[in-house]
Amino acid sequence: MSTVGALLLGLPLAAATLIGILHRRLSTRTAGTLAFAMAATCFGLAVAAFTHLRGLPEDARHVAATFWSFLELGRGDAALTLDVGVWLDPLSVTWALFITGVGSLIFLYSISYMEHEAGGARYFACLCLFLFSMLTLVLGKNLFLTFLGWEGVGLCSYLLIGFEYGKETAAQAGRKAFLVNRIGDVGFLLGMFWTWKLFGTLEHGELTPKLAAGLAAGIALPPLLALCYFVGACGKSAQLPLFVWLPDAMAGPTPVSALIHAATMVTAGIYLLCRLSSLFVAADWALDVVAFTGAATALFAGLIALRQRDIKRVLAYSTVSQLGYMFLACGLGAFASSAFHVVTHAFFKALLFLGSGAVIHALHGEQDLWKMGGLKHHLPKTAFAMRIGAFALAGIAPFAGFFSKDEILGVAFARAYAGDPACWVLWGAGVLTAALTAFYSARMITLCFDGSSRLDAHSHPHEAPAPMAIPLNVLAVLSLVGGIGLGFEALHWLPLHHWLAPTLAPLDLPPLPGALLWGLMTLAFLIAVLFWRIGAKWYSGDCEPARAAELTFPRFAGALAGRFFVDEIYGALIVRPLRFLAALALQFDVRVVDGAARGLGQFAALVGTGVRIVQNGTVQRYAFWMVAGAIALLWLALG
Amino acid sequence: MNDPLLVLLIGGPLAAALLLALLPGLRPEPARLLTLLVTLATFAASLPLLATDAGGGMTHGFDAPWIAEFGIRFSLGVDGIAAPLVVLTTLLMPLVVLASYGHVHDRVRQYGVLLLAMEAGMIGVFAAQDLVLFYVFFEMSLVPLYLLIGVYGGARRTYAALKFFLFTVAGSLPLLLAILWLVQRAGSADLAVLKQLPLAPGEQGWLFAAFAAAFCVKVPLVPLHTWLPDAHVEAPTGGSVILAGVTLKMGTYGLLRFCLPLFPDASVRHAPLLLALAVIGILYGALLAWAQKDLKKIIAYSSVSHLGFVVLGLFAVQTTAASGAVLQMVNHGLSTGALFLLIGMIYERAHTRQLADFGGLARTMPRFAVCLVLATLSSIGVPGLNGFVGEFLILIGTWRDHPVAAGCASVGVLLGAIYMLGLVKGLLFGPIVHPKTATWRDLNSRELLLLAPLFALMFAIGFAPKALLDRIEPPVQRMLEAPRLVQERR
Amino acid sequence: MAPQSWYLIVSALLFGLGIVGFVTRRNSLVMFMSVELMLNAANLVFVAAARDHVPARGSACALFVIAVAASEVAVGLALVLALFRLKKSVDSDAVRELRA
Repeated sequence: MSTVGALLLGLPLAAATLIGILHRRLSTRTAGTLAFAMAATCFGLAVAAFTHLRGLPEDARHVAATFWSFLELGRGDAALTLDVGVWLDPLSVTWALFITGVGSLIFLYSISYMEHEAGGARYFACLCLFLFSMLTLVLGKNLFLTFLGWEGVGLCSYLLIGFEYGKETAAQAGRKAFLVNRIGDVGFLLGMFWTWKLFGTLEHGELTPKLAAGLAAGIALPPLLALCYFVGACGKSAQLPLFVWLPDAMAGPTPVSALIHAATMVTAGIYLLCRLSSLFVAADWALDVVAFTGAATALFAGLIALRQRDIKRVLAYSTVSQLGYMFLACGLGAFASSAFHVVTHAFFKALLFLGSGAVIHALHGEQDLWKMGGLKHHLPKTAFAMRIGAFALAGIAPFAGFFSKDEILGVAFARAYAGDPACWVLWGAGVLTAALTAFYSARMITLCFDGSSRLDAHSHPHEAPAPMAIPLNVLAVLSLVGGIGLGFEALHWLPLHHWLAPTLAPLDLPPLPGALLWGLMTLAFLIAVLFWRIGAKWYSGDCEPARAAELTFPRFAGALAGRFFVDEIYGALIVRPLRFLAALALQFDVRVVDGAARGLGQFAALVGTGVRIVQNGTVQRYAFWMVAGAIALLWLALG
Repeated sequence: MNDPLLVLLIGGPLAAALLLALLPGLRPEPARLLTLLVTLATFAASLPLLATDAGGGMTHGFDAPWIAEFGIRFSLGVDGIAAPLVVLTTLLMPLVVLASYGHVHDRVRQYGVLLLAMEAGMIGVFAAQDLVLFYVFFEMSLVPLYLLIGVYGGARRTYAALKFFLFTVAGSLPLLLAILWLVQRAGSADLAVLKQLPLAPGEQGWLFAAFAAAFCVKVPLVPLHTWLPDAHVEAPTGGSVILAGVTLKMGTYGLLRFCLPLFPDASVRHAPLLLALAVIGILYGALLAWAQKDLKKIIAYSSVSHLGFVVLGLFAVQTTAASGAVLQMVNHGLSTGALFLLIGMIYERAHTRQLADFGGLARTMPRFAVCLVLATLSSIGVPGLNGFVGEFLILIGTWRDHPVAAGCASVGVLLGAIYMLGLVKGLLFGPIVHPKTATWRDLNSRELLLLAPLFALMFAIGFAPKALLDRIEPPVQRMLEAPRLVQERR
Repeated sequence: MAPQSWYLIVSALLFGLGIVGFVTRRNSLVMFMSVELMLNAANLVFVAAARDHVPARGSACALFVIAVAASEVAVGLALVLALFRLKKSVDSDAVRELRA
């Protein structure tokens, strides 16, 4: 297995280096084919790892492999040992499977998508580097390697968002993404420092036993420690208040949005929470913070998604909102449900992004929903696939998103039912968000594909070529069956949950009675269908109901369209004061600190000038001072 | 017993400098070639220093009587702390000479004399095992740098050179006094003897202050840093590289080699102050770097910030942190050296260093863009490159005993990304600003060649720092023995 | 025999004169003379100390300083001459630029 692990990390790195060095000699197609072959091989390797683990007894499903020793410092309880290696267990392999699986499809899609762009080979080099970083993040055998991947994916995201670096907005968005992520990274770093101080290890395999031993010995785990990691997760997974970078990140090419900003990288935060689930469960109120942040983010982003014009922005905010659901699930202690939603979301959100990419591709870069419409006649296959994705997103049975989302809502309800009144709020927020999701999904599909065309007259959209269509079809199938195939709570069919169970903190919650479960499912289904219908109705034709609603609540509608002015508020509250502080520091440095040093020099010069007056070369003056000095000496000697 | 290698490493460049100085008729290009060859030979000869490991002790020792009357000896040697710094010095020198092909066209021979004399002085500083000998080398490296800035610098070079000189001399005079006092007390200037010398608390206090003052000016620690931006901006590229790459490390090296082991009580007593200044330096330097418009000033202030990390690691008095600090000295030499070289290259083309004059270089100069991005990533501590390892070790070690300081310093990691990515974006991305951008050719093979070893080392240290850290740790542990004891007694 | 403090006082006075002269004059010849004054102030201390403590050490140091002073004058006067040829002046402010 250690070879498999080594190849899983080595192949993407080798491909990235190779394409990176040769990027000027390789055509987009060659580079893309190479990259796709690599990604597909990695998927095969991940499957091999999966089957190997399946063959092991349930409590021994983990394989550690060390490649080389990174460093060994200190002695005794201050010893710091870090190895480079992989840690294969159900959690990491699950992530590796969908990263390489969805990743290969997006690589394939990119070959056609990027064919006519300049610098296609460079794009694939970055994509391979991203795959390497992402796999390091999930497969790394300690938190240090996870962090290495963590920063690596951030870096690739920076490079890929700013891919069209000539565009000011793209360069700006890339930088913003990197910086906001770095805020989270500082949290992650502090968490590692603290973990090492408390437990003396950063190894995934050792942390949980040491934590259990420490808890048994009566060590109180500081909730702040868990919150450090939580801040890191918030940055990477775009949660309140650090979500602002993700919508801007849509400046990157659409396949990048699908891979990095929907399916894989943004779920790294949930991976971290799952990886440290035993720590979070032990850290008192830390999970409550996670749950409420998740619910608030889901609702907040869901509201903003209602009135975005840019199709990619709608999807971006819906991603933020869905990530909020996953955080909510983690916060409720249902880590397996969260992972379930991660997987289904990877399927349908990648599908939606790739579909939107096909639309944008067909319209030569147009992203404004109000300039689309009626596209189902021109792009029937894409429209069909997108509709499946949107149904999955909206949580309509039997599509994938329904099962995972309903499970999260079910857990929230069960917690409330078991006597935690605060969970009613969480459940309410979740249900409300589900309604919003159905609404904006319907709005997007209706505006894009139904109704009459609002296209430019000279635009002739056509279906995407086969390499773009194949991934869409595969993802559409996965969005259809991915949910029911992996888990259906009411029927006690939970293969993913059982598979992940040895690596996650168990959910300590009595199951709901079967009838209640079915009832909740029906409710969720009805809400989704109802709001889909409303959304479709509001935005079909000349959108009369939508306009009427906007006119009734103009300020609210304005706030939604303005994305609650979060960017402006951050600008006024954080960025500008910080800039002012920097300018102030500069003035202080020049005037006060350096001024003091220069003042000292000028003082010395002044003394010199003062003394020089005496030394003016007049002999009479010298004689006078001599006599004066002699008299003074005499007076001193006598007196 | 006596190993002549270190004498050769110091004497070789010095002799070459004398030779060049005595050949006024030599034409520029042969002189430059001679300088290059000597620096290359010195580099090659210095490599065995890294290969030998004595479990923390001194290797390649050379010891001869010098001023026997006062117990002053000509005593050299390197351990795991000094050896990487010596090799860093010998590595940077040929690169500086190579870089000079682009911008030094007058007084080439004298340039070589100054570089070689400085190299001898800098190697001497790291290799000296005798306090007086150390002081001699410490001052010896100062004068050539003063001339390098003053003669080959930019418009305000005399001001900058004088400021640099006065700041450093003001720091090193108390150091001289303290050294004389110590030598007279112990009857020897040998470091090993001085370590055993019992000192009264008050005595330790002022001796520590004198030593720390000299070194903190060199580092430079806030608020003694204002000479650095001026010196950097006015210095020629080579001067900046040496200044940032090696000269600043003399300060942090001195703190580790002398202050901590010789005055453990005072070190521990004053550690909170130095930690506070280090944290202030990290944040304040980063903020200042953000507010700058001149490329070199941005890097200069980033040095203030980065060296703050090193001081933080040293005065956390913790092995992991201090080992990280030593590694970070090397790292900073690599990344900042590369950055100054790159800025020098762009200056040779554009004759401006204002950030606002640039934009869109990624399209016209892709090689330059890749190199700049790499150097930046190393500088802001992105994992996989060298800078991260150092910062990580410093912070994780500091966190054990001083979580607040480590926490505040971590914010510096964030600020570092802000100003460095601002620099990258301003130079490389966005629309083209300067009308002549298209006429600037991309980096040529000489320029790529001289950057290549720096990048290779960045990756090597970033992916497998163990070999170097194994060398660094044992001597660091020795330096920290005495202060650790003091800490435990408290 | 005069007490040692007297020598120290005279030496301090000499040294002070040297400093004042060095700082206030711009004529490089006078600056050189001031430096010599300071060196000789140090010599006086050495010799005085040699009388009371270890004779050989102090005298040796004094001789050493004299040698340094002599070589310094040799170099220094050559510099002043060169300066005069270049700038037709021995004013030290005439050479602030560090290069021609």
